[in-house]
Amino acid sequence: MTRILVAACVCTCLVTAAAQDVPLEYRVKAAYLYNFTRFVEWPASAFDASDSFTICLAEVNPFGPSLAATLAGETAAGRPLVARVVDDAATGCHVLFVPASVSAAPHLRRVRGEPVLTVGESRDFLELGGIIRFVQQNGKIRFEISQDNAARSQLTISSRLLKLAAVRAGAQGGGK
Amino acid sequence: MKTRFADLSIRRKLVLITLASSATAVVFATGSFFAWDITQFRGEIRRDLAAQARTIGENSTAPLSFGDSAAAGETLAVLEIFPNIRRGCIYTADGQLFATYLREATDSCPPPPPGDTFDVGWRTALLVRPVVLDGRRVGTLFIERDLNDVLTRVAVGGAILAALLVAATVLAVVIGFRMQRAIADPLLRLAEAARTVSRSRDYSVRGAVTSNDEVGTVVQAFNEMLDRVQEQTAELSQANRLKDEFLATLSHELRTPLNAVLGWLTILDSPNVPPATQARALDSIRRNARLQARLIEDLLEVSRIVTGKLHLQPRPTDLAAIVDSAGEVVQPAAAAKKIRLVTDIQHRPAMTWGDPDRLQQIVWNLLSNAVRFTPPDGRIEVRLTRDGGYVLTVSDTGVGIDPAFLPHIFQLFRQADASPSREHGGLGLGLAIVRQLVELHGGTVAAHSEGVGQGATFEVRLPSVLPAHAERSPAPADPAAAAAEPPSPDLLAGIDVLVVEDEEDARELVRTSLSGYGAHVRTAASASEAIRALDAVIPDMIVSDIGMPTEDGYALMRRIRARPASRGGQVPAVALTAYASKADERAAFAAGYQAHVAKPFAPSDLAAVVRKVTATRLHA
Repeated sequence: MTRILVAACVCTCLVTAAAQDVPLEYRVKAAYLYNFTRFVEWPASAFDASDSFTICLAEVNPFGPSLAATLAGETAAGRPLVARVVDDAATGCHVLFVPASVSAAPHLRRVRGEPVLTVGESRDFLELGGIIRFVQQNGKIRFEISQDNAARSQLTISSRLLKLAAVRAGAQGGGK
Repeated sequence: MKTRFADLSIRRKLVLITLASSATAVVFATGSFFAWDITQFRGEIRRDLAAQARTIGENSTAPLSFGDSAAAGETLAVLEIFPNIRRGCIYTADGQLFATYLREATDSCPPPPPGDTFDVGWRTALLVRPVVLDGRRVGTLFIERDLNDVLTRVAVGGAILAALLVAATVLAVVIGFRMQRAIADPLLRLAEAARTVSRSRDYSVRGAVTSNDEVGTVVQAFNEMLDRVQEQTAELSQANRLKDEFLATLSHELRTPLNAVLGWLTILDSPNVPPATQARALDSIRRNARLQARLIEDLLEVSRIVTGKLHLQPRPTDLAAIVDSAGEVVQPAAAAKKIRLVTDIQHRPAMTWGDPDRLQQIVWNLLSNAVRFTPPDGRIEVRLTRDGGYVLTVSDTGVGIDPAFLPHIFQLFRQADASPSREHGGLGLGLAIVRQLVELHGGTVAAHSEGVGQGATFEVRLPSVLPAHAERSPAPADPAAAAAEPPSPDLLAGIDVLVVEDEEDARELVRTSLSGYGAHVRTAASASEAIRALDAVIPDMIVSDIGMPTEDGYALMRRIRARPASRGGQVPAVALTAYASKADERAAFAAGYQAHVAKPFAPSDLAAVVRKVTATRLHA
């Protein structure tokens, strides 16, 4: 019964989100972005050129101020967490979020093989080489993970996170 | 009413002791084992629960992070395999209930508990753990475990303990019964034996020793005590018999001469007694009176021996001379029975260190005994030889001694034939006195006899031998020695004597005795009269009785000695007393007397002492 209540709450929230500046969906996703950093391990080389841990947003910021608020004062891998919007996520990004409105392929191509956790929303995001894709299930925000793509990016995904993934995608472009 | 432990029967005691020890052992052993077991068990439960909480906490970090309550519920679902977990609840960091596991569907999760606690009580264990991810609290885990298994374990332990206690009780009763028989039965038998003894006075009853333990020792001690009692009873009845016999003998012996005296006195009392009869009567009376005096002397001697008051006055003495004189004394009696008395003295003189009077008594007793027990025409041989010390043997051809009586021959009051119809008179004191006197001289005495009718030999051994030239010591300063020389009738001529004596007869006797030696005698019947007499004229000498009414002789002398010399304080004095112990003598000297004369006294002795004391004063 409790579980149903929680689900109901999330549904209501999603419905009412449209009326607010930042939809609840993106506020939840902002928290998820932060939480992903807790369950993923980056290689040490990822931090050679930077003093901060950077979450890059491809071209647009769908989170409004909610992401910055979530990250304020937080750290990952011992570095302060910062978020910024980038057109070209060549270097300095540890997480790259590609919103649904942005074409994922060029961005993914640019960071291929780099230790960057790519998170997207488009249906073919994992097939394009992305690592985590947000999905909606029963009005709840869930995610899929491609472990192969993560391995290609020298990232280790915690089994605890993998357990929560709605779909565990296999190899890149795995037939699903 | 509480019954004291000491009053319980041995069986109860044994049961209680066994029960107490076994119960203590059971309670301690089982109790401590269970306490340890329960502690261990609770510790195990605590560790298990902590481990589960940790696993669940770690596994719920991701579901909490990503709001996946279904995944969190799956994590909690592992608790199903632990039947004692009643509730498991996960809360989000802001206190919302996130996921639950409930064993009973009707149960529910409590409001989010704060903090980080772990309470293991007796009925339930409650655990509250924060769920932490990278140092950030992302939620709270709550687990409740019932402790029914612990309670079951405690109950089982208690039941086992109770069962063991019951078993120990039963065992204690059984063992108590068994042991009681081993301990109480011999004691009861002993008590029965003791009761029999006290009821029947049969001291030959003995307890049976059935074990080698303390009870056996008690029985043995009881038997030994009975041995002693039996011996003592026998000794007591023997002693009683001897005393009875002695008293019968004594009255007979005392009455015999008395009868003669009384008989002859009756004859003398009658008119017209022929002179020859008169002479015979006087002779018989004299002899019988002497015999009685002798008997009484012996009795006194025995009394001195028994009370340990016999003291020797030893000096160099010639044994040969003593044997000679003793032989002379008994010669008439031996001759009367036509007994040949042979004396064989191999050393002359035979000097020894001893009391001549006592040595004479020894020889005289042995010889008169021999004369008494030797039939007419017999033979007595006295022999004095040397074998280291002196050996005196007196052998006779008399009635001999029954070997059964031989060991008792030197005991007081023992006589071979104690029947009233016996042939030989006497009190049975002579040989006992002999032995005592010989032993006082450091010697031994032994009797030999081939049996009844075979004669007897007595052998006295005296160890002390002095060289032949040993001088006899100067005459001792005692009254007896002083009396040895017959005093001249004017021994006390011109001496003024004051006699103090409360009893008239005794006073006249003293006056007559001293007047007979030429003394001028004044008398006083009491201490106060004596003081008055002293005030009137100071005498040369005071002779005073000790035992007087009102004021005794000691007090009188102390009063006199307190006076100045000019008033008679220095007059020499002689104490007269019926009690002749050393203590009496010392008391007399302490009171201020210069000499001490025992009553009854011989007039010559008293005169000699008075003379001597006066002389002492003259010399002083």
